[in-house]
Amino acid sequence: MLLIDIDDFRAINAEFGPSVGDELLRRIGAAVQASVIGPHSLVSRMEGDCFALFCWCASRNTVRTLYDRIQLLVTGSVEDLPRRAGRPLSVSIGIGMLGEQECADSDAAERIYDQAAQALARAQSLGGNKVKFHVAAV
Amino acid sequence: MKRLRGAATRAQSPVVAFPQSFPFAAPADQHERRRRLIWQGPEALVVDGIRRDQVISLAAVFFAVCGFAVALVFLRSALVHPSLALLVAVLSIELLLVPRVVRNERWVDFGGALVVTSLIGFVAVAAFLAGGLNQPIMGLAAAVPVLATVLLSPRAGLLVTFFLCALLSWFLALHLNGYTPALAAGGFGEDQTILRGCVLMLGTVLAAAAIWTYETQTQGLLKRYRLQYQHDVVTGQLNRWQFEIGLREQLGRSPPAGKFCRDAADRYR
Repeated sequence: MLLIDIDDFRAINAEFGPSVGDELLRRIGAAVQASVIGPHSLVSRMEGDCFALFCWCASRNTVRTLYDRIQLLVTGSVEDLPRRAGRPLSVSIGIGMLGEQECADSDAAERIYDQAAQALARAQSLGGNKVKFHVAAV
Repeated sequence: MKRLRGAATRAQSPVVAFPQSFPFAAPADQHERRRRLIWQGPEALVVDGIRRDQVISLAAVFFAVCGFAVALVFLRSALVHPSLALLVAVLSIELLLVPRVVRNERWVDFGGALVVTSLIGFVAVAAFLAGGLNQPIMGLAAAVPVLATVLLSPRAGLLVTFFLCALLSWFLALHLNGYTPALAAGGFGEDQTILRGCVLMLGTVLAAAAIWTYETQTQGLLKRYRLQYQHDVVTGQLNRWQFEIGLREQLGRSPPAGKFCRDAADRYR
């Protein structure tokens, strides 16, 4: 599960207005949606500027490919939007992973979300534009 | 359902006006509403510039004047039972109340129900005088509560139903007291099968149209509410609640064989 947060979204919203903020959210939402294929993945705007993506991945390499793809699509999708001087738009990504056996646990949803949220908090605390796996996933 | 815990601290966007990006956005919807006519649902508007209460008021006053004229004729005629003249007068007074009831778009459904009850009352009195409440009129009357319920409101339907019951009781009481309308001989004759069939068919078509309209509107609204209930309004993606449900479903079942994201991700290489 990936939690994707737009860096400095509040500042962008304040500087360019809510219409640009909404357009940004739409573009990034579409980019995240386009990064996965198939009926078994879920994409959601959780709250504010945070998107969540759940999919079944065969390995960590697949996850790396996936977040590379997300960053690429996000960057490409917002090129024509106004941007803050000297601050290209970026996203922070936190990743939580569960093994196949763990998925059957009753609290699997809470655990994977907590993992992703903690990893995201770590990515943000490092200044944003980072991708962090949860420790358990590492 | 237990909510997911432990969200990271994130910047929240300020509250802004309702975005217009989502399907079924407001402007298109307003345009859609403007084109609807008075009989297309309780929340519909009359064509541009004319309000529903104005239309209903004008119609009510017109029929009230006609009703008073008929009541006067009945009173002066010895052929009609005085209680029927009184009934027509009551129906006319009921109609005169309508403009006050529906003023400023208030209780439009209630006013509409009064109009419907009065009109069906006039028809019923005419039918009674013309030979009793015969089958076609009853068929038409059966459709009226349905029409009132669907096109106005359930409250209006209930009012119309009560009124029809009262009307039938009135006629029944007259009948039990041995009253026979003197005009009966001039009413529907024996050979009126086509006319009766047409009236019955009209009632059926009206009821069917009402139910179709109601169902279409209900389905459209349900579709809209479902979409808004399950999706984020800005991006059109699943909202958090639906995501949680989907996540639990996905985790609750075994990983889909051959459907790993690897398949998709490999395309990007």
